[in-house]
Amino acid sequence: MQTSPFIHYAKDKKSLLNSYYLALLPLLIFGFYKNGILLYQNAFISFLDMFLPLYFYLISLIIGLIVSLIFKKNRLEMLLYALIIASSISPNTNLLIYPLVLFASLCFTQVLTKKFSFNDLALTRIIVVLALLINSYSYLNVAEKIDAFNYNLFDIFLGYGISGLASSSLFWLIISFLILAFNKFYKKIIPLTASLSYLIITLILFFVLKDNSYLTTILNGTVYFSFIFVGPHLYLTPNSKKASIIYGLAIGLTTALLSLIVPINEVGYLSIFLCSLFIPLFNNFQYKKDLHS
Amino acid sequence: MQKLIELKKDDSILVSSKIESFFEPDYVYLPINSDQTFKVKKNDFVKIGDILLDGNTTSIASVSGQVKGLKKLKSIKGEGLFLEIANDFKEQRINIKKSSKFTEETFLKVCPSILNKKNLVLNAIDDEIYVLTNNYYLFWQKDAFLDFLNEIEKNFKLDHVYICLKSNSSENIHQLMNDLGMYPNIELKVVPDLYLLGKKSFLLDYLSLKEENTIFFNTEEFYHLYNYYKRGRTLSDKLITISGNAVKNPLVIAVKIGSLLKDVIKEYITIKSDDVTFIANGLMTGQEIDLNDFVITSDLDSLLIMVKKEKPEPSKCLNCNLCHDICPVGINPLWLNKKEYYAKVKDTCLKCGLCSYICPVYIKFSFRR
Repeated sequence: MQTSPFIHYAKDKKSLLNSYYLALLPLLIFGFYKNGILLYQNAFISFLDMFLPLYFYLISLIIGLIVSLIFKKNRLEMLLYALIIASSISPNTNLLIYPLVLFASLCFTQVLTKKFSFNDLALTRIIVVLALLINSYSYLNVAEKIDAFNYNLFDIFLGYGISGLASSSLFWLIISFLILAFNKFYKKIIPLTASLSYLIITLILFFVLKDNSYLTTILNGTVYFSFIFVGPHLYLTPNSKKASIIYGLAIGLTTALLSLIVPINEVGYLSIFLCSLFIPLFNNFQYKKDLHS
Repeated sequence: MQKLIELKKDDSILVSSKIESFFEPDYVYLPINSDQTFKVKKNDFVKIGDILLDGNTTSIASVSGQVKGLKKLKSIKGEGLFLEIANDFKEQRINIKKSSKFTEETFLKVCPSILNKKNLVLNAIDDEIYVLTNNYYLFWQKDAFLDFLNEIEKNFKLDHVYICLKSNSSENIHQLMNDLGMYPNIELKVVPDLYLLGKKSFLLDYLSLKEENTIFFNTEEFYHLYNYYKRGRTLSDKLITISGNAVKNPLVIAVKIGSLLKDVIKEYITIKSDDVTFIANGLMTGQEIDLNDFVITSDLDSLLIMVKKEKPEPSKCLNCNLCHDICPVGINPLWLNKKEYYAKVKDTCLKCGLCSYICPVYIKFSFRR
């Protein structure tokens, strides 16, 4: 069989990247509103501080561009990686340290991926937490620190909960997921199975431990953000549908269990990173099964 | 049923509804297979229908004339030796007893597989885009086909006789609808324009027919059966579609088997670009060919002449699994580079090209090994 250049499906990888950017857009805008405009309107921050979310987006894009030039990587992919990381960091991230840590961690993971197989985006995100530790480890913005707004569960669903810079809104995450799911090349089975298993296990934990904080945990946007944007990594995912389902289930299960000991805003990335180490195992399992079927 | 897809098309590429014929080539060339032995010598005179080469397959003269010798030429199967026959333009044929009256007994001699069948399917579907060869056999011989089908149906008491056409063959559908009133037992089945629906297994599945109860003909096979049984003629001509975005006047042409493709192009086709690629047998499953010394053999269905385009560079696999999802026989192309898996599936693969068609990073799966 041959592929001639004259016939191909209407879309290719570029359309997937475009879908990712389009899906990120509402989250980035909401992040700017929640951590910038809203705080400024209520006089919690100065006019200049209002643009802090935009600074993080922009500086991430610049760092992504530099890293893509250094490692001769696809520019659109690297910019996307940088933007995904910027969306999930804490609003309290040190603005001077952040670019350095992002640059170092992106370079480190790019070198490491040449020798090892793992979800580099998840590892980069884990390392970037170092930039947060310089200040104090907290995802609370200034208003949340003094508990200025009294939000209910529905507000948290809409995105007013404590979470990453642009990853707090479950509502907008659902919209983002739908945008991505319309693209044939997006591996939607991974976030779907991961979210499902995470929801079930967390609900079981809620009923067993009778702890109301699990309800807030269930609505935490950062976890789903990691499932939607980091779990279905552009390249490093299992190479069959069944193995992808197992991979997604494993991510959700690991996230729910690790959330008992790891801070909720980091647990999704850690689980994805850990599960990605076992991708060759998932692939091999499915391959052997298919071979002997 | 396996989910089939519609291929993306360029609507500006059309095929004319006119059929031309190229029946007077100066020379015809017949491919020589390694297992075949010669039944003729140089300078022998041959008639249409004479067996020239015999072996696992036989090669039959498509023109009458003189055997000139051997020549190195090309065909869809590659380069090889061909037997050259100079056409005397007299169209002399060997005598084959034709059946003036249709009887069960005489038909069973030429088509024994029809015995105990309940259904007949005449497939006029072309899977390859911009190709209408199968479709045009029906268009070309419509009245003869309908009469012949009617006779078969009556003599063998078939439950169903289906003529299958794709929904985009509007001209054929319209003409058939007018004529089918006279043949109440022949049903027209208009199927969606899905790739691979022209393959026997998928079409029977779509029609909910069992293979063991059904006799299946492509229109080209049916044309040769009709010619042999009714007219006492052996396989000497065929239809080919010549189309593509570099062709000013796309056509379906009836040609003598063994003609040089270049002669046909020279006679009928106007190419509107200097930098073109010639693709034989369709964009999905066909291959790029060199027009020089290329012979039209019985397995050539189409020639697409396309304005040259840069081939996209394949990049790193996304593991999106679409190649696996789309495969009509359930092969995972990502595992083809594993020896055991390749051995397991190599005979199952339809070589339909869908895995490469859908791939977002333009991987050519057949070249992975």
